[in-house]
Amino acid sequence: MSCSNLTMLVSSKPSLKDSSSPLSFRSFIAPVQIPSSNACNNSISSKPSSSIHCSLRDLRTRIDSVKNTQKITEAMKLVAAAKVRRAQEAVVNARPFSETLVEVLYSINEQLQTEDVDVPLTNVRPVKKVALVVVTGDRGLCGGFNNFILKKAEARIRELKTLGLDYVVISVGKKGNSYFLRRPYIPVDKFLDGSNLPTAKEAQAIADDVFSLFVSEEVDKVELLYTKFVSLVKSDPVIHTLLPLSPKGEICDINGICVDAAEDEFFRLTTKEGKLTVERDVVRAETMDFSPILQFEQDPVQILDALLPLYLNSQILRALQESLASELAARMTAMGNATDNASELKKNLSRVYNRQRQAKITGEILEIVAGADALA
Amino acid sequence: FMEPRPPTPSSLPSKLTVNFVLPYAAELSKAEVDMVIVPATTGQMGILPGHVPTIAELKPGLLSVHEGNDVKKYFISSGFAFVHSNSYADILAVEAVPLDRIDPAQVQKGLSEFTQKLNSASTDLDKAEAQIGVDVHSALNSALTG
Repeated sequence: MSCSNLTMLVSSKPSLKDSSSPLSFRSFIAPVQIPSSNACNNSISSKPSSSIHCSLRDLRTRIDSVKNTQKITEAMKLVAAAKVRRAQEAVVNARPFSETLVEVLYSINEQLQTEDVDVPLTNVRPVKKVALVVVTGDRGLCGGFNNFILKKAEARIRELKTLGLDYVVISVGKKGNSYFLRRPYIPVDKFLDGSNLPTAKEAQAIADDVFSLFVSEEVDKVELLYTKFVSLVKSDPVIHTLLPLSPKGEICDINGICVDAAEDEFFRLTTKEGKLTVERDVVRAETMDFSPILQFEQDPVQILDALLPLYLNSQILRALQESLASELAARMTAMGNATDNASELKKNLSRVYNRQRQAKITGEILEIVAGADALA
Repeated sequence: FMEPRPPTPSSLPSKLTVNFVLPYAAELSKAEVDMVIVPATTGQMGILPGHVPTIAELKPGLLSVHEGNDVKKYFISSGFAFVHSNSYADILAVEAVPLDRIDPAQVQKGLSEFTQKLNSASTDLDKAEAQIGVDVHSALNSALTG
């Protein structure tokens, strides 16, 4: 068939579901895939770059389409970069809320140390069934982002199976939804769609589902699977235990490694020497010594009862926001690489094009000279 | 992200420092005001500088921030108020909207709609949902008129 190098470049994630994008991606691919009249053959020569022999017109068409592709991928990269900044701001804006919640939790816990707290969300039961909340992205073209999460989910499912535990999945995000839809042997409780800007509303939908599952004792443990934002090129799928909540508000990892809720890591997108980098800072929220005369307007247990669902909500929201930021960073990297590849491909093609053009001109001149010679 | 609070001063401070935060933004950050009135579940509660440290759960209602002659009113859906010993007040609300952004006509319509639903509700779930709607809308109503 005709030159198929281009399709290799762009079809890493062919399912671009963002139909609202003004750059209609598919329409650029289509003309290239129309078989041209002159078949070209790829001959791998001794040179490191494979030499392609096509007609001049085909080469020109190819160069044009590669140029368009490069423009698109570069635009996508810039859009993703702008969105990462916004996502990061959203995380920063949400911090005072969760910080204050943690403070209140701490104070209440100090007060209630002697009493037995009987809040349904903190019940530790022997685990027979686990709910996995898997957070994926909505669109493709983000490198290995969705794959990593889904692989981790599969690994965790296998672990649970070997431990003899039952499991159910709550899938958030279109990519995860389609993955689990194709695998009916994995029980899925609910499919939810992710969004461009996770708000408390979306987090509440997930929180409600998880809450009802846990309180009705259908599941004994809820784990949250999302991508933690490490750096622009690296993202880390992590598993956090969401429920049962520890009354102190600790966030426990899968291996039982608990992080104090007051300690919080956050990332910052900054520029260092003109390049975009990410800095991680660990900030410890000030937990004031509790005042001995702290008054409770309502019964402390009642307050705790109302507080913990809110805390759950803020945890889920945080995970959604970090996941979104990781997806955007992955898309930025992937589109950046695609742009580089496209420019290199264009360079190679242009070189071949020029060489062929010059060969053609030389041929014509030789013909003319030979003809003139023959006449003379 | 918030900076740590200063320690308790020995004398009564003149102003109350308020941090009014929502899950997606900080509405007021370290605002120095004279008084805040919050709708606690036990009733309207006024917080002045030097208030004893308190934790209160809030119900849907009117939150007003008084600064001199200036009063800013918000309608909050629910949340918590946390007063510390050095006249710092943290108010967490799940959702808050300034009062002038609420349309009174819509509120009336919603109130009558939910009252109707409550009367015609058959299952417990429907009754509970309708009751919640009535509660919120009547709180909105009284906030707008009060």
